[in-house]
Amino acid sequence: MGLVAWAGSAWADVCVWRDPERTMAQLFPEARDYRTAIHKLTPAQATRVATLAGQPLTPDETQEFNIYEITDGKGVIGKVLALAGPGEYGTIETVIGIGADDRIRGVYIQRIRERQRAAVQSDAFLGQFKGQSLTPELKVTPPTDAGKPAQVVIALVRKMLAFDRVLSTAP
Amino acid sequence: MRRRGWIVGLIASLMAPVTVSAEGLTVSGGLDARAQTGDEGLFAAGFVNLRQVIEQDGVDRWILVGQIDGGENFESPHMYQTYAQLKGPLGRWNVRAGRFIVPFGLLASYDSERMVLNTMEPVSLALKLDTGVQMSGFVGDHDYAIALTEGNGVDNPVLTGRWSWQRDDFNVGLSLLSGRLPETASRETIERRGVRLPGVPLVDKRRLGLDATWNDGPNTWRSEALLGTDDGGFVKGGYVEYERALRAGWSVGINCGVWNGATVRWRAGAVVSRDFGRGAALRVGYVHEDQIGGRAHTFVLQYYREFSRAL
Repeated sequence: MGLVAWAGSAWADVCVWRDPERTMAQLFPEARDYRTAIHKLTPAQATRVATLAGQPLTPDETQEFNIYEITDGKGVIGKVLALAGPGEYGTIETVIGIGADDRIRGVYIQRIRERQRAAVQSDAFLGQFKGQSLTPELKVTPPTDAGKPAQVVIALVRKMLAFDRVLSTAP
Repeated sequence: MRRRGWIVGLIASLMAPVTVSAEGLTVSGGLDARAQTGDEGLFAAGFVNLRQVIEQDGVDRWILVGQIDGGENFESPHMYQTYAQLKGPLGRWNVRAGRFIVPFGLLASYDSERMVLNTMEPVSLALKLDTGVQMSGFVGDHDYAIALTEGNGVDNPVLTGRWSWQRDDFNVGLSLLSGRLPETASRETIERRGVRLPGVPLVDKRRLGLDATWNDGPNTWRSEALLGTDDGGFVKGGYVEYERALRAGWSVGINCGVWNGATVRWRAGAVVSRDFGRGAALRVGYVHEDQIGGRAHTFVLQYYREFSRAL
């Protein structure tokens, strides 16, 4: 399920991305502004994303996906993507920043309700994503005491990289 | 010479062509169907939200929001939040004009409208949605918002504002309110402009609020403490809500709130929820509250479903 950014609005929506701009500034400190690119997926694109991600898409994910293009006032310096996946105690809401070189700038967990959340949110785990890209395969070692939720985060990051790869190229 | 160059540059930038475009309109909405004991019995309510982002010179700059609430059994449709927002660079500042939820206390980040357990604003503020202008944004870990509104049909200016410190799992806010408003209200009247409970006087209200939300893994705490005056008389109140996520989509929650104003009003409740994913949830709850007509014990069964799509 995707996160829906509503610019500070606060009605009951389990998947609202609560602080999109603060997260963007965190992932791209040099950011000046952003543009929301709403992508309506074709069936072929959805299949390609699932293939690259190595996992099926949820029904919502096959319909549309938003990519937030970050600018520094002169041009696009990167992208921010957000996605939520199922944890044992609720959805794990994950945001990533991808630089202009298609490498991960940072991974941020907006909400995680798992017991092992500290290990999943640690720099020791999330820091491993920095500089990696969809190909070659992500090389990340999950924390020994948080394997299950960490695998959810890894799968979400892989899926977001696949969305970016497919939607950044012409259909 | 340098000053003249600056002025020329400013004029040139104002005269420069502006590129404006808009992508998909986002439509979201929900259905809230309930069976409950008491006067209301079976009822359904629904809402539709429209949101359009308008780009200017290649970045998101304007946000238009329209929300229509069908009211109970769709018999009293009314505008919920409806506003235009100018978004500054990266949302560090925003100017909003229209009808919106006032920036005060828990309301600023949590609208319990469609939940079984509700916050206390009908009795503690008698204000939720109002028409006016708001300036908001963030600086580092701090959020700010200040609004000047018209008192929801009272036509007396109301000033509300909130500063908050935001951390990943925790935020604490300090809020102020000043204005002439009904002494009390109901959950229905605070949503409709110019509608007041019969016989309720207008009073000069001052409020100081301290709120905190803590997302501690499977536990979520929300709390609020208020102090203030109604026509110079001291009033106070508080609210606490706790939610615990269990496995496989289940969660339990309890709340308790008290308001000591012209009369003492309190509420307490408990709820068990099952989240089915894709915006669908089933909730069973019990609420005990002091209403104007007396105490009420209500058992609630709620089915809630929401969606969001870009057109």
